[in-house]
Amino acid sequence: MAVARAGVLGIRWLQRASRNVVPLGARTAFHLNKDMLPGPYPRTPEERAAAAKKYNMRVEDYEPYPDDGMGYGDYPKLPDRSQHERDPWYDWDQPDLRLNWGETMHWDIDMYTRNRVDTSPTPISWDDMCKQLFSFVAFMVFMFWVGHKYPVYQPVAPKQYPYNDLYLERGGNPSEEPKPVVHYEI
Amino acid sequence: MLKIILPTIMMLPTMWLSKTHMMWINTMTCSLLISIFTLMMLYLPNNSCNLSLNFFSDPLTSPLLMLTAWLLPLMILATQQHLHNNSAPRKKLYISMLVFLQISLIMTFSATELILFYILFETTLIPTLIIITRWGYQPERLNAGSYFLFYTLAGSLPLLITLLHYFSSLGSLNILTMTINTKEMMLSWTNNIMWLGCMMAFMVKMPLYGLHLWLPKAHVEAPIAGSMVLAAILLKLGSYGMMRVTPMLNPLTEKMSYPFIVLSLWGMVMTSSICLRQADLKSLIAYSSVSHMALVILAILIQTPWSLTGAMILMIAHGLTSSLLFCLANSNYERVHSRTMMFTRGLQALFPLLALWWLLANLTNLALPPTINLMGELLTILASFSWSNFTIMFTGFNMLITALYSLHMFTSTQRGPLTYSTSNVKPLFTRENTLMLMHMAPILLLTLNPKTIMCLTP
Amino acid sequence: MHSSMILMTMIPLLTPIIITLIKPNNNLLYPHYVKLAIIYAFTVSMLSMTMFIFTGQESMISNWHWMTIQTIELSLNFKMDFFSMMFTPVALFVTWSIVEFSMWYMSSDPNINQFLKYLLIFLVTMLILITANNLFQLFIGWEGMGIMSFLLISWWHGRTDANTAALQAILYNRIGDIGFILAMTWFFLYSNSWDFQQMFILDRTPNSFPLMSLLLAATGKSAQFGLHPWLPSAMEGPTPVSALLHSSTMVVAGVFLIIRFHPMMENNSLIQTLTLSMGAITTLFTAICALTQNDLKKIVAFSTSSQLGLMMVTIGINQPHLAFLHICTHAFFKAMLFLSAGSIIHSLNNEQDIRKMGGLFKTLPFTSSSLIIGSFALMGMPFLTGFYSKDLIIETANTSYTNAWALTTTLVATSLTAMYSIRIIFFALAGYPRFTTLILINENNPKLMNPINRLALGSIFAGFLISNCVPPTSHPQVTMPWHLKLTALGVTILGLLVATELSLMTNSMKLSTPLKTFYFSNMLGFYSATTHRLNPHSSLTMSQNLTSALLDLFWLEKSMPKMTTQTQISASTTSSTQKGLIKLYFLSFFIPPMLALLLTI
Repeated sequence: MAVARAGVLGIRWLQRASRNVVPLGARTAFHLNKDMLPGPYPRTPEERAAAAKKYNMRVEDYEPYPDDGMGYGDYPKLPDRSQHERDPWYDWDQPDLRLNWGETMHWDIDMYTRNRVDTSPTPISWDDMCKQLFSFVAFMVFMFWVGHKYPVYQPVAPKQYPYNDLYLERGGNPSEEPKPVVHYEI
Repeated sequence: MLKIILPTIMMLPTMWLSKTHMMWINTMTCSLLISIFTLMMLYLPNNSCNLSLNFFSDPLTSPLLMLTAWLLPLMILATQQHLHNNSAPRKKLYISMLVFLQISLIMTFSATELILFYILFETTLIPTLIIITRWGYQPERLNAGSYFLFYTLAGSLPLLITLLHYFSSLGSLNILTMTINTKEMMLSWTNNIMWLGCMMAFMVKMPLYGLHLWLPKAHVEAPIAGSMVLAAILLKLGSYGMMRVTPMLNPLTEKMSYPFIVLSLWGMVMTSSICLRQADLKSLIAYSSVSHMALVILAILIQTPWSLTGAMILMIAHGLTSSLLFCLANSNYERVHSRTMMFTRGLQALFPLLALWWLLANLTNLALPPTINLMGELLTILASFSWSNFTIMFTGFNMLITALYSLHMFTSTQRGPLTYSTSNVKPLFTRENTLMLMHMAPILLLTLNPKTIMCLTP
Repeated sequence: MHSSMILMTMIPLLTPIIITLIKPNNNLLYPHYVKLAIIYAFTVSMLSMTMFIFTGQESMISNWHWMTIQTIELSLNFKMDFFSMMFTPVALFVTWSIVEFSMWYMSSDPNINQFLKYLLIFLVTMLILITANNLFQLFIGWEGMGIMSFLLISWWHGRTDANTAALQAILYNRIGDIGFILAMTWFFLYSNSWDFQQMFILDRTPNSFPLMSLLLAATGKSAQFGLHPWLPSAMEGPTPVSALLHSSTMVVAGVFLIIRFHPMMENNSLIQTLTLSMGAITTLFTAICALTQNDLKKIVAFSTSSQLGLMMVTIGINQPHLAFLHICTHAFFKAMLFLSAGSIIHSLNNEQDIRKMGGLFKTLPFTSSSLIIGSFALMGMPFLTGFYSKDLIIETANTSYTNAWALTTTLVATSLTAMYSIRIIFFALAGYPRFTTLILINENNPKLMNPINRLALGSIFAGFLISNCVPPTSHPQVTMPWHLKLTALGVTILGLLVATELSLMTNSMKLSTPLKTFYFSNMLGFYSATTHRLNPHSSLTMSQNLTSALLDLFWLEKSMPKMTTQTQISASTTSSTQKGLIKLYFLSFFIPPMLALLLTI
């Protein structure tokens, strides 16, 4: 995000610096048609009304992006809400995208489709979620580190069996049987 | 070599003299026969090359020649629907442009003399430019055409000067004797500029990140055959040229290549990340080919046997795959009449077979093992990893993003419910299925035996 | 004889795939072909496994030289060692049951043939992975499995959720693949071979770097903490897919990879610690997540994830054979749990919420008894399959010189296993029915009964049989205090008691706002809620704003083409427009002589 913001600032600076030399509004061949591109930024109320009508919106709902040279023009700034949040039971014209025909799409609609970014509200605030997850992971990592520093060992012994630890049964040489191991003393 | 060039030239009268309804069939048959001829060039016992005074072929050229010859019938197949409304002479003109491009490409790849190579290298611009600006989609095609022309011209004029300088100092620019003739280039300002002069033309053609702006524009505006030939072969001209001239620039390449390697690593990630948000199918594929070609640049500049082999495999694999992707995008476009991915959704329900081709194309694009795409990428990653361990950050990240955008492209166009707007569309023609198969079959066959395109380094 | 038998297991599996290429028409008998092929392969592989157990002869088949790159040679290599010989019949047995089950479950699907073909290809890729003797072949199986899981998870491709889940699976797997590629390049460079034998001989004490990347690969594939969210999302696929994905294929592939590379890992303490910690955190985290889920399949999915963590822990304490044993035993009861869940879901008209079930032990007696067997096996009830591996693992972990915290988390997770298992039983099977009436409940179809029956038998006896075949040298018999011996059982019983008590309490408690800790568990530890929002948003915004708009459309476009045009335009306007500045124009005549002067000097 910070990078993008820096980018925007950089653009503004460049725009100011080079407004006379290089007129802005990069016209690219591979993006959209001339008819599809947004028009110039509306400055007067009449222009605003015309733009709102063009985008099929009410004038009071219409709010363009700030004129910062990112090429948004008069495109309306819609709330950054993903398609997840839209009513799944409504009879959308395009149920997959949850869009109606003629509806103005978000500038970044391809980012807010249902298999990409989700912005639907959560029962817990974002900060809380991050805090809990982070503290869980941090706690676990710290404890693993402690456990790694001070490993434990439970006392165990090799299993012992009768008949001289199953010497013959394990295929020992019967002729030279070893002495029985004595663990005790009388 | 004349065995291939002459029949290709004779395709022009064949086509102009044949009746309208026989035109497609005649050209198809001729071009397929020619592509069979080129297979013979693969037989190169003991690492030799087919020599003549002006043209030759060695393990570097023969796979590219095969690819070139193979692509002409594919282009002819792909354009039929696109030219449906044009009158017969225009169709013939279009095909003759393709054939002319084919001739110049074959001669470029097989030229022995660097000046001849240069002239033919520039000649390929003319038919491509005509194809783009005459048969393109929108008025912006003129803009795209001028971008295409001026980027490549601006890059290649220094090459001409450098070549002339070499000619005057060496007396010959024969590629085969080049390595013997040239002196070692030491680090000096003159030599640095010479190096840049030699390489820039090819870097623009590849294209290197930063010099790539013409490519998405040209691809988006070009008609289907133009896109196919651009992605499959014209970009490979750049890498071919680089591989040809680097031997005479030794040992300067080691020093000079740093900024370009860095740029291509960076550009690889950048362009594939652009692909994540492209709304236009064709520009997505175009950017994906920029990111794949960045891998090729990386491989060529590192200059180890592994990397050169990897570059060679990647060139062929990418040629076939991206051309296939463009064909698929065109098939979509001819039915839905939009290349915007938001509006072409759920096509699997209508065209199950097309969905299969899409899946296969995307899987090869993301380098699924054991396709040759993976082999090429793996060798390149290997070579760059041994060059510097940190490159893996970029190459690995690029692999991830490539998989993401490829499958995103697949999911958003093929999966999901069908939109109401997509109804009353034509089914998939046999012609189109054949076209896809003819792209896929070489990939599969080469996967079975990749040795055929790997003889570059013994 | 031995090697030809291996080929005889592989070839019948390929025939149904090839049949569809030759005869693509819809064939009603195709499901039976698939089933027969798997049965045949299973029988043959059982024979070869028996022979292997009898002779103990490891072998390697090398045929069809693929290519040579410089000094490295790649050919089709199959490795027949303990792991591959033991696992092949297990995988085939489980798949056989799942395929038969899906003939019932998917019977209304028009593309059932394709579905079964996908399942078969999925199995084949797993077998390729298991029997591979070089890293490249292993990678083919590895990636093939990723792609097949993509196709199978998004089987109902009209659903956006299924597509999203499939993309998620690919994304996380691909992150793991970066690790795999990294390991491949490292081995290529430093041991100049991708053959296991050669790599192991050359690198007795290898660098941690390739091992870390292998761990990353395993983390992606086996859904360890950090790369785990795809596993519960994969429940969007049809139930047979979940069963296959979670029992004997795909998710165990990562653990299997680590087991394969164990000769390199056993001397590297850093990797051991990392594996141990990774496994322990996964097993605890996913068990916590499983506690409050209400989706039947999701609970089972999280239990898989938790068991995978346990396998990782086992590798972390240097016991690969035990981990392998757990893979084998886990396959049986996990497949059965999913099949029983599928039967319940199908009977209740695609209802997956356990709050809307209840009292099923009367209406679905067979399914509920098998669900109970499966859950008990999962908990490690003595003398069921799970006991033989799980108890041994916890015992060994208890008695080894190791990280105490990892041990504690594992024990807690074990007790949580009992909790969520009892929760399923309590909510779905016991109590009063809470589902709507007028639902046709029927579990009499032999295509449903037989697979579950077989797997139930497997869940009871397989552990005993397989654990008898595991080489005893890997875990020496030790004498230990009784409290250590009883830990596994004790914590399980503790979990059981607590869960029963809590479940009873929930019925009598009044509704209250849930605690924050509840949300932590219910929302999957906030991991997917945070990362799945932040990462795509930031990367996609960056891709549009920074790379596309700022760099490409602005900087590159402005700095080169537009700049040139602008300078040309301004130069041509200044030079061509007549403004009457005669003096200036005449002065310009001085420029060429000056230049000439400069050049001559």
